[in-house]
Amino acid sequence: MKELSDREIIDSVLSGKKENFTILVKRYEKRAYSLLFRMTRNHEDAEEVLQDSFVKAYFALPGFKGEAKFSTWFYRIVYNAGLSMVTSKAYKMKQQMSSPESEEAFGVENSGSVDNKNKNLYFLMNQLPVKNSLVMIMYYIDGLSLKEIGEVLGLSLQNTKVILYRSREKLKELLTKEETAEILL
Amino acid sequence: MNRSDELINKYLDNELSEAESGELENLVQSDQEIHSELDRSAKLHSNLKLADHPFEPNLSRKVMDTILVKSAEKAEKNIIYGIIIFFAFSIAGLFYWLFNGVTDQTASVLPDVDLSFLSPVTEYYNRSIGFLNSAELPESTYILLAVGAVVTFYLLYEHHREVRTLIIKK
Repeated sequence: MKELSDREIIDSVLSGKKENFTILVKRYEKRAYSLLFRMTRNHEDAEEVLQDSFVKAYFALPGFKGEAKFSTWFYRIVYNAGLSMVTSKAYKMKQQMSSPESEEAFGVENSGSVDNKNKNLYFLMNQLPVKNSLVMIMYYIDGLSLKEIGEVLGLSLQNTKVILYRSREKLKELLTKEETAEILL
Repeated sequence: MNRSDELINKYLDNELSEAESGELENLVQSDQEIHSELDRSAKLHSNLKLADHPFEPNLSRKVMDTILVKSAEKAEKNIIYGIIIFFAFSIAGLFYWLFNGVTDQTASVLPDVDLSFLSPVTEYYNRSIGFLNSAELPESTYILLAVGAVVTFYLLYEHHREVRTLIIKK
């Protein structure tokens, strides 16, 4: 069966087939979750923000004119929601009282299997500074173009490129530091 | 970032011009370090492209449930606003009828009764909702307004009772 495009799904949701929104949720939940997990470093918060972002996007669909791709538009909602969460006072207080989950949950595994290799690369990307890892995740894992990433993060194309270049350098440094280069490369 | 790094990054992103491509080729051939750096970067680049999300969130059910609840709340809010607007109009109509229609009718039936003390109120309502008069509304409108007010009171009371029951249950 032919896979519906984002635009077709949006049109069907707007014409009354609300349940079709689940297709968009399934399509984007995994990607957006990774982004939010990097921002919040907490599964519970990432899930909460992602859920809110989908609900927000659903009610904002009538205003989506299609000037940008749905993915860019949605990522922007997710990024802003994540940003609001991590800059809120309540979140900062919560963070001070608890330890982040990521290191415990995703340690580098010394196994050469493809699955572990992929997870380890994700883990290493997560060790980069927030903006760098967000750019890496969106570029390599989610397949967004540099222009789209710039639109999501509110950066110029040139700045986005610079961040990507620096991220690659930092990642190479990390690989050497973690002594995982042999496993990953 | 030096020139070779810049060129390597551009190569990875398929952004090299023909001249830059030649420049990189020369650098790679003349410098073994740049050659191995290019290999390393290209390998990392292709591995990163294969990197995957380690998460499997399953939010579609939760999201759709929240959307349904919020849609219902939104619809309910619209109903409430509608009722409030109708209620406001009903009350305004009733006041107009009370201070204008009643005084006129009383004056025609009981010419001796002095109702001049109501005139400031009548004037006030004439100024604020006098458009009802200029529209020359038929008598049935007043009845409709009265019925509207009663229905509004009833609906608000019912809603209040439902909300109260919900709160008590919780």
